[in-house]
Amino acid sequence: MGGFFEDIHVLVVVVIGMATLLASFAAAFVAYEGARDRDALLQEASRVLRAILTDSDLLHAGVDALLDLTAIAGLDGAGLARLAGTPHPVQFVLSERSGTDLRTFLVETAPVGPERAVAATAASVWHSDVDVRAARVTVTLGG
Amino acid sequence: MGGERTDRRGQSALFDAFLFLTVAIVASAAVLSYASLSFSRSETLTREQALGYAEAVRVALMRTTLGDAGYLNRTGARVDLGGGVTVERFLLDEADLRSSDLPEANFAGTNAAIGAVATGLVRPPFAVGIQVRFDADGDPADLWISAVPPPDRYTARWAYETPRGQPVTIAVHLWTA
Repeated sequence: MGGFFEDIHVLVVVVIGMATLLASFAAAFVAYEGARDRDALLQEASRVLRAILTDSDLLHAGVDALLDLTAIAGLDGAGLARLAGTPHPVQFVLSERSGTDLRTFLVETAPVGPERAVAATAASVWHSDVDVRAARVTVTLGG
Repeated sequence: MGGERTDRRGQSALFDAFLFLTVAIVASAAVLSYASLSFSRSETLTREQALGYAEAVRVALMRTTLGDAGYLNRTGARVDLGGGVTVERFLLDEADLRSSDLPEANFAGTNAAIGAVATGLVRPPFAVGIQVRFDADGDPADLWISAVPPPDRYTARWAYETPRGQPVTIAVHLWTA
């Protein structure tokens, strides 16, 4: 009888050990999948940001990262979706950081959910030849 | 005697089971530690990305026009450069004038305005410092706007030659506060 209970104890301990090991493998796999998805989304956000900062329709005199005020003011959700070329919801925020009457532009194709990736950089907004403003540009992609 | 043998075998098996459990727990901890360390890379900015961001900040800042640029001449009178002067143009002129022994304090107002634009431009968690290196009596001298950066920093720089033929380097340094 003593042998039987010892066997049960051994079985319980081994089952707990195996369960711990399998649970850690499962958690690691879930973390790997999550990281891969986040990485892919982050790269996509960076690609969309580059696409915006090099799009000839938005640039002044074709200079990279020198955005034309009129073009930015005229950008809408449909235009942003065409530029972005991604199935993910996109939010574009441009915030001027110099000059008077600082302006902020926000355009989105659809509301971005809680799962998101953000890419941001610095750019310039051309108001006129004597008024070029520094700006933060942020692109947020929904998951 | 037979009962003792059974107990010893049972205890031995239990010991082996606990040994296995210990190994399983250690292996699980190792797997989870590796996963949390290696899969969190996407959350942090790589050095290459930070250098690219520093270059974007430098380009945007140098293009920026100043609304009310000016400095004080030797008599203390303000020289108003008017609107439309870029940060780059002002810093190059300042380097030229500084090498002619005009003191740094004479440019304090516009330098502060440039520092404010730079500080507002960079996104958290970065801090920014601007360095202008020019010749002063044959020796290199540095003008710092905003804070002086720590050794571990991300730098974007560009070399110029002023109209008077003086070599000037303007650098934008970013670092995480």
